[in-house]
Amino acid sequence: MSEFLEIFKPTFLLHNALWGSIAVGFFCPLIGVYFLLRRMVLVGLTLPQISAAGISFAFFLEGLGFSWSLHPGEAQDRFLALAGSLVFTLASIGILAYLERSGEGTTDSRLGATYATAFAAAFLLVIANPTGKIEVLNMLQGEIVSVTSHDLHILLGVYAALTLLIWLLKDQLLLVSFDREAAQVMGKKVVVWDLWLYGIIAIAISMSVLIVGPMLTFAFLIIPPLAARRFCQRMSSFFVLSCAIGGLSGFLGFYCSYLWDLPLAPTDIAVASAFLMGAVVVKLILNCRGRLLAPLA
Amino acid sequence: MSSVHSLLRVENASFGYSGKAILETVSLSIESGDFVGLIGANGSGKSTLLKGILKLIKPLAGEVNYDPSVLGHLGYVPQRDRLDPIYPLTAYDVVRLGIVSSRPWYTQRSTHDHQAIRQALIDVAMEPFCNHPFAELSGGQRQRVLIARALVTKPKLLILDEPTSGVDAAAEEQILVLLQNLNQDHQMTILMVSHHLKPLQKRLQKVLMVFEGAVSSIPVETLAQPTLPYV
Repeated sequence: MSEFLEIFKPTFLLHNALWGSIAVGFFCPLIGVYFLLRRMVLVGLTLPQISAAGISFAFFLEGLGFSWSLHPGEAQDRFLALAGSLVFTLASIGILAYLERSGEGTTDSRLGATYATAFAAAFLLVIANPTGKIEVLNMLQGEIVSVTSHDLHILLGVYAALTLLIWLLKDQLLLVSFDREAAQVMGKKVVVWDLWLYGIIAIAISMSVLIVGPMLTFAFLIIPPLAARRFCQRMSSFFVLSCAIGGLSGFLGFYCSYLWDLPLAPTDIAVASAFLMGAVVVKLILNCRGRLLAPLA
Repeated sequence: MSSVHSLLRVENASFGYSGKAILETVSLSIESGDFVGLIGANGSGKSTLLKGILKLIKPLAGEVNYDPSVLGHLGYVPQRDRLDPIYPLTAYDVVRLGIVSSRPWYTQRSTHDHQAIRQALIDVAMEPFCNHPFAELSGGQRQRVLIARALVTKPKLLILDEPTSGVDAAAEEQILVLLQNLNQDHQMTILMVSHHLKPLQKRLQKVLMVFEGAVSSIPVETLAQPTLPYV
């Protein structure tokens, strides 16, 4: 119990990591809802990996002698990583969307090949980095333990802005996702709304990958909405429950990781998966109960 | 007394994909107050023509023109099976999307919207189901909700894509009676794609048939004949 109370103290060494974990867990499902509803879960797997490749590429360029305007140090490294991640994620979304529209190959094969390539590129670009900056590998796993107060404030600020944007645009995003043709017939510029959604996704993924790495970002995007969908009949409750499960997974995952000295990302994923399995079991019980009680009603 | 005028005019248009025409030199017009059926066999090009009319694809040649009064008041009812049941939406939510589609993004919800949604659901006899999950409604009920979604935009021209496909006879009759009432009592102009011919005979005023890459107008009475080219 003392450990539980301790992690809430501002003096707790991993205070920023705790709130970073909760913030990523809370926010990622907000956009993960769209991945699930638009049936683009594989995109949710691929984009974080592309983001990681972007981080490696940015440091590779730096190693080749490309100079950057900021002062050297940790702040520049963060900026560099974010810039590489954002550029790669946005460019990939554009290319994948173009290939989708042109009907080139199948979606699954395109995403599978892109994921594998991005995975390999992320590591090979670190190995090939002329400065031998191997610590970039840590960045690819997510650097939540070393998150500073400054990083956390930026993360929370960006997440808050994106949440506001999603809230403002939620009706339009729902319309173009649910019934694209009807939206077009009514004169909605569906490509423009797609760009808004993809822009939000790119920024969110770039920030999240820097903090918790590609695999945990993917897990937080997909698993909480998967668990929540079974219990929701309205979009609003779907958003809220998904975020609640994600945030709780982030918190409990961090706590278990701290308590038993486990690596954070797999522990977070295990907790989120436990929520998903629990949701499946509870829904099964509710369905069976409903079927048993139906003849009596 | 209102004057009869064309709400939709297609002139010498060709429609197709990747530059290859499926339908050529199509000319047709839908007049105000019409109840028009668009019929044709599977693969005849009905869907291509519908997409062309709805401007979802650009004509390869010719023009598709709407009367200015229709702009912003075009109701479209898609095939219900195209809509993914994974979305957690109630019947009310689906109808509300009709309002969303007809407004700028920054418009706030109002109590008037709420009343309009309720009224649209009442018009299609689906008000008691307004809080039911859309995906769990029967085929006929979902179709009526989608009609309510179109009605909430106060359409001058209502275009429906196979609204009675895959529903039982009773539900089909309900939908057709509803459309007939909208046409006769509310003077709503309707264009309906269908391949269920017989129930349409008594209700349609005009029939357009898509056959072998062309669109022609045929007498309504011929719907009862088994000699239609694709029957």
